[in-house]
Amino acid sequence: MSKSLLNIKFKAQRFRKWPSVKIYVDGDLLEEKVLEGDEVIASIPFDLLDGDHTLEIEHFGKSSKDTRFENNEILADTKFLVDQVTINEYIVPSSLMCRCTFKADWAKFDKPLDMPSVFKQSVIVGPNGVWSLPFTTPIDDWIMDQRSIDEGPKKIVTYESYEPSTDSTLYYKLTQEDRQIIKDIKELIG
Amino acid sequence: MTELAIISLPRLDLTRPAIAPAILSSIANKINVSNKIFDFALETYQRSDKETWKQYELHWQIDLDYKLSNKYLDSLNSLFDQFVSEVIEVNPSQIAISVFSHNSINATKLFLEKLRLKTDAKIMIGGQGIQSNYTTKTFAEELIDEGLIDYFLAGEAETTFEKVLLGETQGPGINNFGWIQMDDLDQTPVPDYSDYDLDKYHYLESGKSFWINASRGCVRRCDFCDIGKLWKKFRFRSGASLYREIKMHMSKHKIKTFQFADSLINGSMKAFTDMNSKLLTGIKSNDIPRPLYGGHFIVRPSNQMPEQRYKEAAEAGMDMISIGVETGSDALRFRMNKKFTNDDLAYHLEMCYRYKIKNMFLMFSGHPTETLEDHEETIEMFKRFRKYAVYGTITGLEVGSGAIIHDTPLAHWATENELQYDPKSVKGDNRLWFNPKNPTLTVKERVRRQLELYETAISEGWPINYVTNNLRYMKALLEKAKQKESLSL
Repeated sequence: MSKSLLNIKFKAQRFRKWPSVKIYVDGDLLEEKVLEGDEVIASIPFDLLDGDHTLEIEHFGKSSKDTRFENNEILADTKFLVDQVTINEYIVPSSLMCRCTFKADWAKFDKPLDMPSVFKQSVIVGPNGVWSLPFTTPIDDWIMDQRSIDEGPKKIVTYESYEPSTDSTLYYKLTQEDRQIIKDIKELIG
Repeated sequence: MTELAIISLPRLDLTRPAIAPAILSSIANKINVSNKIFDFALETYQRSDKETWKQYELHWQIDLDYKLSNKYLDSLNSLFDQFVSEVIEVNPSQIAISVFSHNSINATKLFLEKLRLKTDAKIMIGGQGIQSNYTTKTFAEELIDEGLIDYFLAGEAETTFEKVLLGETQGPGINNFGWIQMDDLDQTPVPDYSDYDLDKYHYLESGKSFWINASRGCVRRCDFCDIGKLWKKFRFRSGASLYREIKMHMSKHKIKTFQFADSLINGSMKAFTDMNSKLLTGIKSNDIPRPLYGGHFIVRPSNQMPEQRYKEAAEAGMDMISIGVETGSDALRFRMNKKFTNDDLAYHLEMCYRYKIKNMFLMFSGHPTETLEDHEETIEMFKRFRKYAVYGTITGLEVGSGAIIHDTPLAHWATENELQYDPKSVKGDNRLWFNPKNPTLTVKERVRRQLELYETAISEGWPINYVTNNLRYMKALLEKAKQKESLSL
C-alpha cells in the first residue's frame, strides 16, 4: 500500500530539549516522536476508509523551563511548525491547511494574559496541546471538491472561447443536455 | 462622415476584442482616414438568443456543411440586413472586412451578398480566412470573380492596407498571394481599441484583457497545422517594443491582462526572456503594476527551459498558458513533429505547479496514424497528470477530433499515402477521411475515442471546456457521415 502514506514535515526549535509529539488519526495513535532537528519528516504508513478524518498532533512534555522568557519577551523556546502535510502523495494546499486549529493545554504553564485557549489557522505550536486538521479521503477528490466550493465556476482562457457559459467553466459537470447528446452519439456509433 | 468601415464577422472568439480591426484602425488613423469598427461577431451573439446562436455556431463551421432550418435562416438574414444597414448609415467610401479563418467564410459571403447591393464603396477583405479553399479557387479569388469585393489583401495588413487606402491598386499581396513578410515586427502599429465598446466582451476571471502580438510564424511544424503555410518566417518583436505597448494599454484602458495571439509565446527563448526581463524591470521600478499574461506555450525539455525561466516568467505575469499536448503517446506526438515527451510535460507541470502558472491542455483524438495503443496512452496520461488537475495547475482541457487541413504537412502526407477524402468535404477542417493503412480508425471509432477521452477526463476530475458545443459538433459530424454514407464512416 505504497500510496497510503502520511508525511508530515516539521520545522522544530529547542531551548532545553526538542519538542515531543504524538500523532493520531481519528484518535488512533500512529506514532510518538521527538522532533530532533531543525527539519524533521514523519512518514507514517496508514490506511483509511473513504470519508471524513482528523489528524491530530499532540505536543506534550513541555514545561515552563523549556521557555526562556524575560521582560515580556520570549528569548528562546521549544516549539514547532507544521510545515507541510502530505497525504497519499498529495500536499494539503494552504487553503485547506488553514482549517487547522490548535487547542492549548496550559496546565503546566501560567497562561499569558489575553491568550486564547484555541488558536485557529495556526501551524505554529508552542505550548503543550493538540493541533488538529480535518481532512477527507480520497484526498484528491477532497482537494478538488473544496476548491470547487471555494472558488465556484470560473471562466477560463481557451483557444476558441466563445461564450461565458457552463461550457467554459472549471469543474464542469455534465448537464442533462450533454447526457442526451452522448446517448444520441452512442446510438449513432451503434 | 466616416471614410472607412472596418468590419469583423463570426466566427470569432468573443473573450476580448479582436486585434486585427484595431490594427487596421491604427493604420487608418496614421494617414488620417476616419474610421469606425463594427464588431458583428459580437453583435451576432448580443442580438441572438442562446439556441439561435448555437445553431449559427454549427453553421459557421464550414466542414460540417450544416444547413439552418428556415426559422434560423430567416433570423440570420434579418440580422445581417440590419448589419448592412448600420454600415450604410455611416456612408463609408471604403469598407474593410477581416476574415479571421475558414470558419468566417459563410458569414462573410452572406454579408457581402447583401452589402454589394447597397453600396458602391470600395470593398476589401484580408485575414487568414481569405486563402481558404473555396470551389476550385481560394475564397478571395472567388469573391473577386463574383464581383463581391474590389480587393483582397494577403498577408500582413501593415504591408498592404495603407497602400490600398491611399489608392494603390497593385503590389505584393494586393489581389495576389505574393505578399512579402515583414522582417521588423517592431514596426507594427500599436492596435487602437478606442472604437470598441470594451464592456461588452466576455473576458475571464482576471478581468478585461487585450490581445497582443509578439511574433508571427512558428518555430515548429506540427503536421496538422497550417501556420507554416501562411508564415514562412518566424519573426518577433523586441522586449522594449512589447513593454511600450503593454504600458500604453495599461495606462489608457486600465487593462492589466494580455493574451498573446502568437503561435507560441516562447517560440524564441531569447525574445521570451527579453520580454520577461523588461516587464520585471518595469514592475520592480513601479513603472507598471504586474500584468497578467497568457498565450500558447511550447513544452520544452528542462535544458531549454530551466527552472529560473519559469520563475522569471511567473514574476513577470505569466499566469495562464495553453499547451498543445495533442496526445498522451510520445510516439504519436513525435510523428506530429511536436518534439517533446510526457516526461518533458511532467517537468513542465511541476514547474508550473511550483510557480502557480495555470495550464490549458489542447488535445485531439484520431490523428490519421493514431493506433489504439496511442489512444490508451492518452487515457493513461489523464491518470498520470491527475495530480495537477487536483492542484489547479491544469485548469482546462479541450479535446477535438483529428482533422486534415488543406496544404498542411499532414495533408501532403495524406495525399502521398492515398488517404480517401469525402470529395464534398474539402473545405475547412476536413474530418471525413479514411486511412486504408489504419482501417479500423473510422469516423465512428474516432468519435468513440473522443467520447472516451471526455468521459475519462471528467471521471478523473479534469476541468474540461466546451463539452456541450463539442458534443453537438460530434453528433453533427456523425450524422453528416451517415447521411453521405461516407467511406470513412
